[in-house]
Amino acid sequence: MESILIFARRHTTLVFGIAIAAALSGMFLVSRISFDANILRLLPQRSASVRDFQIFLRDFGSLDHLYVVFNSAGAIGDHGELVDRYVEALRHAPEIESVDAQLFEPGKDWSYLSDRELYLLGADGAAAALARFRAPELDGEIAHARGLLSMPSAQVKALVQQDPLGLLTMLRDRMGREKGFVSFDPTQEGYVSRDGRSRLVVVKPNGQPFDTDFCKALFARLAAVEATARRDAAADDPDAGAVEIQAAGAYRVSLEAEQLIRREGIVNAIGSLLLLLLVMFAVFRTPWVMLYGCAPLALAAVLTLGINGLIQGSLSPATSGSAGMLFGLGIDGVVLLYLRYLEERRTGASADEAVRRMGGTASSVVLAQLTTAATFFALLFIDFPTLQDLGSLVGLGILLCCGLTLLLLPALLPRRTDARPGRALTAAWLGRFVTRAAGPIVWISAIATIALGAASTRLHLDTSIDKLQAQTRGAVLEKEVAARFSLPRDVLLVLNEHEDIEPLLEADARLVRALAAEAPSVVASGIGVLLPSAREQARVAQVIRATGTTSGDAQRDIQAAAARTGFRPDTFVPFLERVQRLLDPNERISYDGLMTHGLESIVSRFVVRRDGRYQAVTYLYPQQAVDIDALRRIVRGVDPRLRLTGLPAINHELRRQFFPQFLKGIAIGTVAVALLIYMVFRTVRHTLLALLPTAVGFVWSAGVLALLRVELDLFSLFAAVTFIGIAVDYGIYVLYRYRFEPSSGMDDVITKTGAAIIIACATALIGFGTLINSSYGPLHVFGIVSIVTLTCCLTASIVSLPALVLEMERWSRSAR
Amino acid sequence: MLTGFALLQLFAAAALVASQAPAPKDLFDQLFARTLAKRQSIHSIRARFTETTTSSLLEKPLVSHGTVIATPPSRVLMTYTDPEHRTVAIDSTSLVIVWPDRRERETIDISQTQKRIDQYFTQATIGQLRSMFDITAESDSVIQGTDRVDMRPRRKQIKEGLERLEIWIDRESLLLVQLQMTFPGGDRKTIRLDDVTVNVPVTDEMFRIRP
Repeated sequence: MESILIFARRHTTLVFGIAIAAALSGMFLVSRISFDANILRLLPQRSASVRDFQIFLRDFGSLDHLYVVFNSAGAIGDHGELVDRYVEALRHAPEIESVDAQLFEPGKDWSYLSDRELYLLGADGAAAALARFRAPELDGEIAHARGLLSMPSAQVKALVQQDPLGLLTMLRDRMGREKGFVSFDPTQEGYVSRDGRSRLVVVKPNGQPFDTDFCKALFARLAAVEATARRDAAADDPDAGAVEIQAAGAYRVSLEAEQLIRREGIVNAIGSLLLLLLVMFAVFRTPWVMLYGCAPLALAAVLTLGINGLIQGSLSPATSGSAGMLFGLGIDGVVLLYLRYLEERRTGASADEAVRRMGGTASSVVLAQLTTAATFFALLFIDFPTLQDLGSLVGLGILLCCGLTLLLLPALLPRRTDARPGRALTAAWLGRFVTRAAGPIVWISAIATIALGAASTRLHLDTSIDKLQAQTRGAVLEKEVAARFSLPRDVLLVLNEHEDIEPLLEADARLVRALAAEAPSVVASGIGVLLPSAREQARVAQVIRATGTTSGDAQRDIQAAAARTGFRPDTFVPFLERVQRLLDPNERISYDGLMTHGLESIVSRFVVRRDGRYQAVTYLYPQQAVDIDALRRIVRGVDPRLRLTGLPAINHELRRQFFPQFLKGIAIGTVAVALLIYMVFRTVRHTLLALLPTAVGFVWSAGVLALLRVELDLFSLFAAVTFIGIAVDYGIYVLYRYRFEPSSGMDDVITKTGAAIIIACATALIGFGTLINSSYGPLHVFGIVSIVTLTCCLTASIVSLPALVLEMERWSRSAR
Repeated sequence: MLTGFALLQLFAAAALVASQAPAPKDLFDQLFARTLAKRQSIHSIRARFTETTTSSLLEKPLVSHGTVIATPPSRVLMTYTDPEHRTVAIDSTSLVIVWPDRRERETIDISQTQKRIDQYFTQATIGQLRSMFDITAESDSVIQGTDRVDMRPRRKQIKEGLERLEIWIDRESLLLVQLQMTFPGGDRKTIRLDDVTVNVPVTDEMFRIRP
């Protein structure tokens, strides 16, 4: 280490040149960074349920839909004019691919299905429907249709003409049991919520949700469309101004999260850096220390952000807190080296000599920074993308910061030999306390460990994936919209794929039957509601043939019954024209037929075709708590190729995988840190002693967090793995000096290093503590956890550890 | 049907606001004002009705008969006796239609519709009614002893569902005698009330439709 410090001291111009080049490169790379709040990035990538959920989001489109919601204090149906004008303007917007404003709108040819409705009724339903074509049921149905006319409305009149035998009512009753068409009030125009106050328009933009420039253009367009629609509708609907128009969905969440990450990233970086420098100034009372701290930290932050952005393409919400963490950890090296510099200067050493004597401290700083970086890099092995982002950002940042500190600090320190040595910091009071009260400290520490260890069993952990989503206004609105319109968000999903569609239809039918038999509380809704399997349709065709009802007979009988009941002769022409197709046993409903008749937006909720293969989803709506494992067994029993997913399944899987993953993270972090410590101390005893305060601090922290009723999420818990590397540094500083540098005993070691360690911990607390202000929930909780854990580990390192070392030496002497 | 009951409510509710209205100017304003005291005194109504539906789909008008019982603010029970037996029950949130011969039952959530009725009719002031409808009132020469109120919607949204509404009010009792709705396309529905009795004893049981 000495040679590096001396090199940097002698080649100042070269060091500054490297620093300027690094700064320019970093700024260039940072300018190209994009942020990505895609929920897919938050989920563990190796989980089967997650992979299947990603396929669902990709193929079934809820990811790339924009939900425009019209809200009114009264009935939204009173503001149809505004909605119509908005939708019309939206259809012509260049950023929009399609707009789905209602089930029955131009372009959707529902007659394709109504002409084949017998096939949708199934064999038994078709038999019951065919009975209505013959006396005596025929007369009863026609008379009933006449009675319906006493309920005056254009819709009833059209229904009577289109469906005098009530076949659509039969179909509606059958489909009413399905939930796949989401929850709307069917009596209203458009997708209107059950309370009648909101109307949903589903929009498919033609750009990607995570293309920030496109999102900005899209929302500018929506604002323009809204202004135009409001102006045009004002004449017919003076109250249209009171209607609230909101957009929800991935496009809004993405845009808001991107802005949030940028804003919080900048605020966190600048805020924590300023705070740290102010603390440094307050402690050392010289403005130069602000430069010593600022230069390596800022450079490392810019470089690491740029390099990570270059490698990964885009960064997740977790990165918004990385700068503060990096500063809080990185400045430790500056503090310890500068304190050592001051200490040597006060002994009368020249500035150059003092820099040379910093070598020993530099070694412990490098070891400490390596252990910290190692635990952050250990996060890369955890299947959690946000943690991986955090691990690579802070880990790389610490290494860069360490290197830059070793180069820049010697170059920046004053060259004049007459320069004032500055204020030295010691903690004599702490040294005296630890040596005098070593015995009681050890006993109190042991009792606290047992008590808080017991309390830690009450620590609450929420493993749900929802906790990891950036909570922007758009994200909250999306949840509200999903709940109001029962959009497929928290439902369970069964995915299937095949090159032919028939196996998918067969499997869907078998799944629905199996669930009805084995899990009746789970309502299933799949493509079978629109597209029965060929086998099922063949059974219906057989029923049609068996009844022997011809279209000619049916038309004649219906007309005769209509005349007897008092209808005008041409009343049922719309139905009579359909009879031939309705009773044709050779007709079939097909995927291609549905698509060519404009029903893609409906069919694509269940089946899509991609790269020559069909992907199908069946939605499962549990009506009460459901055993996911049992459900998975039923699904597999129907067809091993069926895959169960959805957020409830993912949360279930996360809960199950939580402990193996957590143990893996802890094990990797601990082994990496232990190896590094062993390489320096070369004894198992000192390695274990260095690790002990961290282990004890973790137990205390868990207990305190439990008593404070802090609810941990997966991010904050796994991120706590990094504290192994951070907290172990404090023990290393104490043990390294006690073992390798001559001193008059533990009292002297704590007197000289205690203050430095407290300042190092305080800077880390400032860096991590700023996360408490983060609006990204996991970072907020992580901020709380870090303050509690680091404080506990600090106490264990500079109070309990030296006391234990002294007591162990006393026990050893007594034993001899 | 809903609108029909709304009109029963309309004149009761209109009386409430009439007390705050300026001095009566025309016949409609007078009718509006005079129903004030009446509204306070009516707790229920029972009547026989004759419902005549004229549809472009039918050779002859469809004539139905039955009885109606109504209580404020929104409970109505219409029992059709011919030509098809049918029961219709309305409250503030739902419309239930039962065809006992077919063993069919239909329940529709009408809470928003009822709110609209409140907004457009029951709770509307004279000013609001006049802003939504062109209203004229005159003494009727066909049904003796009645005044006829003719309401034509101004707003496109209302016009799409109802082209014209006429109501006949008994000049003495201020009770509804007949209403006629004309729909876009020319279809018409007329409800004539006979043997109107007010404040008949009613119980919850009377409005309950058994499954």
